Amino acid sequence: MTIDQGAYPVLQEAALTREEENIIKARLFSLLTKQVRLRTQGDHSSLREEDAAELLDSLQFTLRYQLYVQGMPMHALLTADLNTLLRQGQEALQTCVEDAHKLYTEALHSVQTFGSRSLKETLAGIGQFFRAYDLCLYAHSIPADIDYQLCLPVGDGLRGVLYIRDYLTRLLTENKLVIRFASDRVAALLHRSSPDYRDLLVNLYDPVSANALGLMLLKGELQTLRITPVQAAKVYKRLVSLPSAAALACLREAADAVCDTLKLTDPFSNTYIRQVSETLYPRLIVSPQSACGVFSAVP
Amino acid sequence: MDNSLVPALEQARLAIRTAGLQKSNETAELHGLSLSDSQMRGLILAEDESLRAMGRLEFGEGILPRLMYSFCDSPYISRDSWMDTLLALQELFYTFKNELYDALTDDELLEAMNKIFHGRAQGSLVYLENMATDMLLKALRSDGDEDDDDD
Repeated sequence: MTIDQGAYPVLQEAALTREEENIIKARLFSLLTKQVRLRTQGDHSSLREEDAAELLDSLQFTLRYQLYVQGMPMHALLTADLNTLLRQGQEALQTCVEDAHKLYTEALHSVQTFGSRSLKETLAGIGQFFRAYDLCLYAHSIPADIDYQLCLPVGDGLRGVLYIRDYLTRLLTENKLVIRFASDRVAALLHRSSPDYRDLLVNLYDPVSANALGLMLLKGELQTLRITPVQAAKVYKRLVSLPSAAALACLREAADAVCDTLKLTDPFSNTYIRQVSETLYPRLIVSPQSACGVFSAVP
Repeated sequence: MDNSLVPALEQARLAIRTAGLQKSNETAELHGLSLSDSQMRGLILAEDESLRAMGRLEFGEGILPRLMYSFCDSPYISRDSWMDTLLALQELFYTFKNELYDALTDDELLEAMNKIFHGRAQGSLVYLENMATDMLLKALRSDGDEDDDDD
């Protein structure tokens, strides 16, 4: 099970017949008319198509989310009371906003930026999201500048507050691992990895987790966050000597061991680093030099 | 946005719009202006075409009933020109809505168009078609007779 399919499933389109699509479209149009009145306060009876499309997008997003919450299929839109479904969806999304805000508060207190400009600006940008987000009319939108790249990005299917909540969950998960290490060691590693990391869109978790996994495979001291080219070559040799399934299992075991050692007990941290370990595999088996690059190895 | 609605919904909307026009038509008849059923159908089709051309979607009964209420007492409009005037006004209305980025509400825009039409345009649709759209904003801001504002 991947992270996207697990804790944060992507909202799926269901196969509908043409006739069913038309019925849903007609029912949505009636709901959309109410949204237009809300949006224009009754001052405009017509809207530009792109403005109407945004409102419709929001409606569909909210309804689909509520269907997902209630475990109902898309076909339910054919018969359900859409007004009720919409209201329930908005209430559910409001809960998501509150959850996301708690995560944001936690992020503001705990996330170490190590001087990363994009991370600082993204944290500020997410603050803007909570001021600008309109879940009644534009629930699908993300009114925030989010530049900082996560090690494992949020899935394409998530939008609106669902995206923000997932982004923050991932950011906090990454931070939990990073702050298990001494700041000076992390800063030194980041500098080795990318001397301009403060001004670039560089993920902080990526080099730290890679080194932690590498050191675990080498049975080295995790807290050093330091791997030599010789050690990197050892990791390369070990992984290429194994069939891919065994090598991936080896990496996943290392991920589990990293979590144990660092006392990262929450399941998501474990799932996360396991998936990261799998993404490292193709980069680690290219060549010893490539492995050196992954670990930002130092002589 | 895909606006192909099911035929039943289209029928329902058509019925609402026709009823709106019929009601306005009764008022216009008091001023000697009336439309036949086929003219009303023609107006609805023309409004649909304007909306398509302007990339807009209508969520109410359309602007035609309110245009009829607003302009039916005009001294510049005769029974013979009523239909053509409405055709032109509805097209202008949606054009202005777009050009002004919906800065004016429907009622404000109707009021501004009416003021100019009966003011400096002196009933000329050509004048309305060729004027700068900021005149609509000025017309709305002017308290008195729009015709006085001749700068």
